[in-house]
Amino acid sequence: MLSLTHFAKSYHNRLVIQVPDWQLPAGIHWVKGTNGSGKTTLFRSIAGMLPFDGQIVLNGQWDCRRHPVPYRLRVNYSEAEPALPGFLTAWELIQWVGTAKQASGMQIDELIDAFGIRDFMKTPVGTYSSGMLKKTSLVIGFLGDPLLILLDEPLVTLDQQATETVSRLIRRYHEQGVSFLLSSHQDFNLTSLPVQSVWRVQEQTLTQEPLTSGPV
Amino acid sequence: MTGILTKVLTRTIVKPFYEQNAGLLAVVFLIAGSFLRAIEHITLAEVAIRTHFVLAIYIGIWAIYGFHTTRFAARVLHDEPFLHHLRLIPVPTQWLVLVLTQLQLLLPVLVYAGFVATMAINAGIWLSLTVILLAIAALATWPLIWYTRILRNPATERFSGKLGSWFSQRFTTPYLFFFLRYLLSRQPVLLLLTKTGTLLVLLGLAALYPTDDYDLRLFGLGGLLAALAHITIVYRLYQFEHESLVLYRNLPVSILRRLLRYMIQIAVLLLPEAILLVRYRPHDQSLTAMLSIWAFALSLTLLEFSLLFKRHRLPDELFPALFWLLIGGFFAIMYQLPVWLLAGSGWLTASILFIRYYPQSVWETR
Repeated sequence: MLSLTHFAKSYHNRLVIQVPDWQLPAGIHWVKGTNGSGKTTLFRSIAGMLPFDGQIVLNGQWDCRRHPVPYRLRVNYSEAEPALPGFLTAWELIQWVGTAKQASGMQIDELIDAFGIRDFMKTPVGTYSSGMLKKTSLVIGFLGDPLLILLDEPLVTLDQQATETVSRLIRRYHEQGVSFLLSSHQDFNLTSLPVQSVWRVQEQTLTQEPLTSGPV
Repeated sequence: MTGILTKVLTRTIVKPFYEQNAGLLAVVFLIAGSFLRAIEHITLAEVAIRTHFVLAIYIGIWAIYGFHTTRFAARVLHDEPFLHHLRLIPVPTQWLVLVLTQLQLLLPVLVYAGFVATMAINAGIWLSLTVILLAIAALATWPLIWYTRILRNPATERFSGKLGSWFSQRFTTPYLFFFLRYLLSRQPVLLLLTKTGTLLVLLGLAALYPTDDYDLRLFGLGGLLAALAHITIVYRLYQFEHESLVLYRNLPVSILRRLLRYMIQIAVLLLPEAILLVRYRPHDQSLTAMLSIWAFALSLTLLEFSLLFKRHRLPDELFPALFWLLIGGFFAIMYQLPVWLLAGSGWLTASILFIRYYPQSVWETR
């Protein structure tokens, strides 16, 4: 489903993460790592938001660089700490991303109701709590018809109900053929999601871990 | 304690202010240094100390700059919770460090006001001197009211106001106007200063044109200055997209469409200049000729924007690029190269740079 070849990302000539070869099958995959290990950098690179060395290809068809439009149409991203313009409303941002990702009005409505953001979605983002901001970012992450959704710390700052909504949506989208890359300090085993593989970002690379072990 | 506190405020408020406004200040210095000779500066100052109306204009400009600095400092004080600890120190010390900080922010005004005040002393015009000193004292101290209010009421919620709220409930802003809304809500003084400056320059040139045997090159220089004066706004667009709209890079939009969207945003920003050029078109210049000046200014502004993607620079590192743009533009205009050709070359270069460097660019904090 996703392949990274000779992938490397550096900041100021300091290597953050390097992945010589990573072939990820369709499914739900969990990426672990300590703070600052490079998870977000990896996710942002896969989302096409950061320049990188190497190659990222989706489904053997869409290269992140050579096919920027079809690739981005199929790869969605929800940020760990959403940085959104404080003067815009969630509704404006959702409309903007939804239009670009070719989301239907019905899908937008469903996601808004699923995360319960209708009451505040027409007030500026700058007035939101961290939980409201996170829900907005999650709605954005599920828009359109993606093949891969990257959820960076999707459960952080969420209440119990929203956590269940995220799990339910991941399961539903997964049944429809959507793959997920999740990064979290919380244990996804507790959410009973069918996690297919677990990876750890450490020492500037990715290593696979057994499904049920290790500290987060 | 005062020294340490002043140092903290210098690093958190003064330094970032000058870094972020380096482009605008550089353009002001370039214009003041290249288009006005020393004798003309002295003449202007002499007029100011002898004419109350002109002195009032001077003080008005200083006040707008002062408001710009205060707004910036107030935002930092509001957004940085660790600065709220200033509330815990004795009030006299608190006021002292805040005034010292404000004086540092007012440095360009202090230097120029010092020059005008010296002229007033030499001429023995004590009323003007007193007015200048009182104005500076007011500019250095009135922000205390604002700053103290923030420190006494930390973490207040920001409201968009009744108009903003009404607008948000009824309308959806298209992407092309995100940045314009950012400027209007977050940087209104920067927008006002830039627009006032460029429109005054163009108006002045339009008034100057019929007084001698000038040709289109005069407006060409105006277009060049207007483009350079927009550098800080262009930098804000670059910063805004990297910091608050990083998600845009994940959206399925082709590079050409992205370029077109930035062109439209910059064209909208320069619309007042287009209207002014058309409205004050000299009788011997065609509409096409005046629009070519606008297209030239637009191409240079777009070129400034595209250059930012080549290598991430801090605002104060833009000065060399601005200098060469000014010199190159000046000679190209004075050697009578056709303005449409200059505009076309600018657009082409800007487009090539954008397509080449946009996908590789990244905002790297140091």
